[in-house]
Amino acid sequence: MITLTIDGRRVDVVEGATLLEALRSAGASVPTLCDHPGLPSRAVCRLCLVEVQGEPKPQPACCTRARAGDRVQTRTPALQAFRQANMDWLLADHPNDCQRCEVNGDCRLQRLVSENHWGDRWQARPEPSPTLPLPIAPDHSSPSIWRDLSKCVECGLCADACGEAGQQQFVIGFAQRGSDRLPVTVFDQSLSETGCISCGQCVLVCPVGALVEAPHWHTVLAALDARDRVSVVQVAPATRVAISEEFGLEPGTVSTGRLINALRQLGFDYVFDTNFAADLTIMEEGAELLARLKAQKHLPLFTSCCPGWVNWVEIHRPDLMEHLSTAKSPQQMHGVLAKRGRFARSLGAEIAAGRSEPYVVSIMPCTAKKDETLRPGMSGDVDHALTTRELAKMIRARNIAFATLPDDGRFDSPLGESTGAAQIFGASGGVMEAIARTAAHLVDGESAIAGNTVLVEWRELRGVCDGVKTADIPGIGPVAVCNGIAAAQLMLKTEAWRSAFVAIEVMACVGGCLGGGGEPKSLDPRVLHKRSRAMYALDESAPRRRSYENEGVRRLYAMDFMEPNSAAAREALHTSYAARGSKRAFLMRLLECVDRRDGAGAASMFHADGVWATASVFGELRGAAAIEAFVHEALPPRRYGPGFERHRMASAADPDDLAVILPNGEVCTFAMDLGRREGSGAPTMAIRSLRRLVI
Amino acid sequence: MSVRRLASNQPSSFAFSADMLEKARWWMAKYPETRLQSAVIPLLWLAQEQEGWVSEPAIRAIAEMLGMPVIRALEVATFYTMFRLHPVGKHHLQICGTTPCMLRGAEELKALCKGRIGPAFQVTQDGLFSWEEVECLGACVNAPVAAIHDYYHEDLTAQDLEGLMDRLAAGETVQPGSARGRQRSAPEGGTAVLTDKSLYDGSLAVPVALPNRPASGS
Repeated sequence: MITLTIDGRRVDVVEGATLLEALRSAGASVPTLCDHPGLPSRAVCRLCLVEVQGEPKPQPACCTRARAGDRVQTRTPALQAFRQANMDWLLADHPNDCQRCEVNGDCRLQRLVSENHWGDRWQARPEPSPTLPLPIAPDHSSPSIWRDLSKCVECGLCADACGEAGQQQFVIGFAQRGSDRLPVTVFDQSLSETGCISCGQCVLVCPVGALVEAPHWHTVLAALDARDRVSVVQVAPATRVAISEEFGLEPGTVSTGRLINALRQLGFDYVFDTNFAADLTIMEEGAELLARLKAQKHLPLFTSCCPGWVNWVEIHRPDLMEHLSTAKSPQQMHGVLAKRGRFARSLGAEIAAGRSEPYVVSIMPCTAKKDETLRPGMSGDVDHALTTRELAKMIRARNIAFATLPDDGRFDSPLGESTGAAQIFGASGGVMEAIARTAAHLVDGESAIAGNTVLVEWRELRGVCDGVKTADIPGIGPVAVCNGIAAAQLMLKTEAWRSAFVAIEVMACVGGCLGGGGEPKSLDPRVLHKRSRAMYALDESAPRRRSYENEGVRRLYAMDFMEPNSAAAREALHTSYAARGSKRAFLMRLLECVDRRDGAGAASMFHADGVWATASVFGELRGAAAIEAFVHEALPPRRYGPGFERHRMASAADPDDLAVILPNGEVCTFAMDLGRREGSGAPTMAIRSLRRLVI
Repeated sequence: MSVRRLASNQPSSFAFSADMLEKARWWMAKYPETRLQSAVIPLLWLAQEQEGWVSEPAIRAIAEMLGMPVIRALEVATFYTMFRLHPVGKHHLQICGTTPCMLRGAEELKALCKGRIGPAFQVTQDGLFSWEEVECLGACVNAPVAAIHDYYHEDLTAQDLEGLMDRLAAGETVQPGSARGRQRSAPEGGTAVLTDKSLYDGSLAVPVALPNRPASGS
């Protein structure tokens, strides 16, 4: 420990601490905009300047080492003048339209302006114009993340979170120099054209509104207010341990009951638990693992709960697709049950007959969950995925006093029951631990339940710090957990993983969902530990801690699916994968449009003079107009909810397979030609010809 | 300030020629296997030598050669103004516009370029010429200066530059150096100060005894 003096007070800090850490531990505060725990300090905002006796110039506290005997001043008139001048520069280039900004009220810049009375130095500036040059024009191309660089303060946190210090995706970086310097994407592509996996870590660290999750909460509020449909909401495990932070409660405060009460006040008719589907996921994924072990095929099995990870595989390593579990993520399993299953049919004749459907919303700690709701094969099962932050905005917008709500809310039945194994899905290692808990049951069947002696707690799989965690599960074999996409990338660089493990869990965000891109923005360096502790405390106090003990799940199998991986379960609860930009991906998207009777969407995937040979009474369709008319008029009208019918791919992950199972059960395949389409922007690929081949 | 946006028309591919590839490998061999990205600047430069500018496929290809993220190579290419992100003419003129050159007539050189070639970075119809204003070329003694290819042309008047462009247009080679035949940076018309010969013959030297001088011999 060393001792220094800050604003006249003696402070003891560990050697190696920065001045910023020292003055925070002393309870002093300086404004900061560009520092974030876990990411390198670059001292670019220049707001944390402090005076250190003996130094000729003010020093940035965030990257100056504290030395024994330092005498530090944080609030002299000269420093305040410095800060004000720096802020003048920042504000001169920042749109003054907070009322229209998504992060209004949750913005570090805005808070500094208001706390320091810098508002009068901020001249009114019109909204950013859509005609600004490309890198500055708002980018809403990604279904998960919106970028508006006119609001950027060039702190560099997003580039760091996306780069070496964080996710190692290298989608965002600083191009140009001087006044042109901006965090751009590779060659100024729109985010959807890059290799972005939608993890949202950039959004999580952005101090302003330059990067936000694609906002859907306005739409959801409007739909709830309209009250014209039965509304259903599901809540992810990582949301209940983090939402408290948005309302001033200590990180790690569990707010399950408060959260449920708030959702009811917002107007949701049914409040369900994603954990129900997490238990279901374990049954399906566990059975799948067992089948693969028996057949010694496609091992190791990769978990598929994390949509960021699934995106990464489809974008960067489609050769790994066959290793992904075909089980849908809990969100999508829950969605299909709530919208299309027995529960939906119980909601009245209109829905049972397929003329209407419930409105299904999920609350997720995640931005990638938003694009997951649009995945071919499952799109529409969840209408909107909201982040934990968006839920907090809704709660604030309706003036619900969250912190003082009674913590007594209970999830509704039948899709609300869960076990401790499902709760820990929200932490890195949780899915694997849940599999481990169910392993004995899966191997030995019912006989093992009575005297189940297999470990419940797998501490070697827990923790938010280690990159790769491993364990040996009796009856299953050696397993690994990759904590964050960077750790997974490192593991996949060599081939050792192929023989070393039988199952590998990957979560794209460090810490798992509790560190997800949709969680509350936090500057607490211990926040992941605190949320993780809360997560495991919930598990510990759960009356049931193994997924197969979930009575609701057992009833579901008894009534609808018979057993895990049955034909019915595979149809409802499993999915298929395709390399991005491949013919298979095009076909899946096209069939999705057809299923939704989205004629314009289907037509837009073809060249203007594209040809679709249907091998049916409809003959050959030529040109976009004919294709659009065919989808709109020739096909029978779309049905909703339980009546909605989908095409499905015949194989789960064969990259070249274009065989499709039609809604009526027939199988056919397709031949497809893709070609470049020149348009106003960058050339895109489109279908030149599509020919259906009847088998 | 030059235009630091990527050209909207990009070639579909890039590959180093055989001898450029050999040079690239020479640069790469200087660094350890795990630090190949250290060679990014020389490789971008080689790409520019070959193509006249640095294109998007070139940045991608170099990033792949060096095993570095594309965005990091893009950051380097867009940071340094010496990397041209747009196609240039066969002869790209870099006119120094910094103070000494400006005082000695760079404005006329720029006006000539604007008139004969067009706005900065615009390539002439025949593809022969383009120009840009650059910051100090470090040859202020011979101002004004223009760099064409890798060589400096100094002491230029607008007529001199015009003549250079005529010869380049005719396919002739041009001789770098002073347009007025001055030898390197030597004073024009001979020296005017410090002309006293005794300054240089040792006669003004005062013998001193250095305190730490070795006793004798050496």
